[in-house]
Amino acid sequence: MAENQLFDEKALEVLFRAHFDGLCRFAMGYVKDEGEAREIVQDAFVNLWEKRETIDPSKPVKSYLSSTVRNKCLNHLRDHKKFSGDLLALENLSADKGYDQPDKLVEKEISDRIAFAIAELPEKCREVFLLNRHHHLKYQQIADKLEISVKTVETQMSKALQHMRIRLAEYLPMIILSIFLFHYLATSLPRHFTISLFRYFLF
Amino acid sequence: MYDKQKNTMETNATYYIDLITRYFCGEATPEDIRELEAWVKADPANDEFFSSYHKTWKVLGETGSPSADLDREWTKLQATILANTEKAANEPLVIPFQKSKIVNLKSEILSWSLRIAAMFVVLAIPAFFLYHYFVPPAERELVAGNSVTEQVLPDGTSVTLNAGSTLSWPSRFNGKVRNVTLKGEGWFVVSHDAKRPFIITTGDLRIRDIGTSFFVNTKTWGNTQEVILVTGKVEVYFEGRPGRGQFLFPGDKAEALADGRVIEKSVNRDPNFLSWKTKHMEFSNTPLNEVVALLAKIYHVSIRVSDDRMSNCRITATFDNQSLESVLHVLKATLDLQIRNTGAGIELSGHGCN
Repeated sequence: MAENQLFDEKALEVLFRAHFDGLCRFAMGYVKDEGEAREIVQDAFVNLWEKRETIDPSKPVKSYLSSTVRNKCLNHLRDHKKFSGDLLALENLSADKGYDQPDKLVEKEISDRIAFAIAELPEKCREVFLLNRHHHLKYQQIADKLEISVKTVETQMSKALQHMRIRLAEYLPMIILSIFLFHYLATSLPRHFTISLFRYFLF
Repeated sequence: MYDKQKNTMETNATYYIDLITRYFCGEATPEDIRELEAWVKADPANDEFFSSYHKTWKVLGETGSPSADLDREWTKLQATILANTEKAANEPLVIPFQKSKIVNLKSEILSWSLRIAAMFVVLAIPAFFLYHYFVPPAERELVAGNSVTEQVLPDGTSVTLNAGSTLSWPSRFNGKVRNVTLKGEGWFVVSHDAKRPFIITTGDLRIRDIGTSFFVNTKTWGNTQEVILVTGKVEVYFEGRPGRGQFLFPGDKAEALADGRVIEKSVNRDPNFLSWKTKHMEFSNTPLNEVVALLAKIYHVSIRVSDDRMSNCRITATFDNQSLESVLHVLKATLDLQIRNTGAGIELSGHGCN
């Protein structure tokens, strides 16, 4: 009981600010809806606070949070009849893995590439894509805003995704491999060695 | 024959790319998901196809800007925890064993309230010294002229007044009760003091905090007064009858007619009750006239729909603290409006909607 008194509101805030974004991205993988993901992560933190005295202090809080989020996501999918074990397996979401904060190193390389790819999209297509990806609008909202049909929005989004796939295809297998390798090596080798090895892979 | 086949294959591919895109955008229906699942299982090539799109989507996702406003989300979490804790504390005692739980919860509520109150104590201290140095008048008053105005009171409570509203309070909160008087619309973040309840007087209505900090939006319009509680717990009662009013929980609304002796409690269904302060507006199939009325109120401009044909137009959109121009731009594009800025105000007209 004495140890858990250290888990006060300040500790909760620190955890919240550190993990909220990462957990939202994690939840997004399952529920694919920004608003839902945020609600689920909020609920997980409420749950963490309310159960703080019963949690095993020897296990990292991060894994408790990510299991809570995963379970809530799966329940959400089941309640809405959107659960597919097979698809989730293909998306690598069925195993009991926690969430990972994305590497800053990898982010910069790819985001430049993505920015170019987006600039290459035809105007209407790019507009639709950005409204969905950056402003988090649903198809119907985009259709209303741009005065086009939902079907058109759908078609434009597909076109955009096809384009992104082609532009990132040369990049994808290597990046995925590198992320995996980097994480693996980072835990077992000296840091400077790992970074130079990573750069070798990338170029 | 070959062309026809090729066409079908292409159409097929497009069909499945559409389906896959809908899936990742969160637009897939349960039927879509059943169909996608079956298709992916039918052939390893489909499996590969799906995975390549998944990888693309994943990479796009990891570099997207985090759109969450952490401060807002943290405030939301605090409010939820506070509300839950109070609900739990107010559950009736069933067995003596639970008494210790209630005591713990009460100290927890206090601790959360103190955290919120703490934000305001820092602001209040310099203000207190100012009052001491310049001999203050017996009463202080804040008049919000044309714009939204904020003030911190001597006890640390923070008030935001909508344009045209007035708040008056004593220069020092002596005595057993902290009394302020409001005319118009105000948003209060009250700092907790169990020994000195905070009471807002508006007309003959009283709003009293019950042991916690609270956010409350009060409004007087026409003959009605309205109170909406966001966090905390308050009692809304008529002057002279404390204990016999309505007790509000977060999300509740109380409405009192000036000439009646009844206070009605309901659940607040208006997501835009605080738009005057936040400029955050949500519309869900809302008639254009209502949208325009809210815009006029929030941006303090005269706007009207001058064309009856527009009366059947509805808007579904969310605006988050945008300029009026930006909002009008969206409306114009969505409804194909003509916007005229006359000397007297803004006029909207158009062909109407189907």
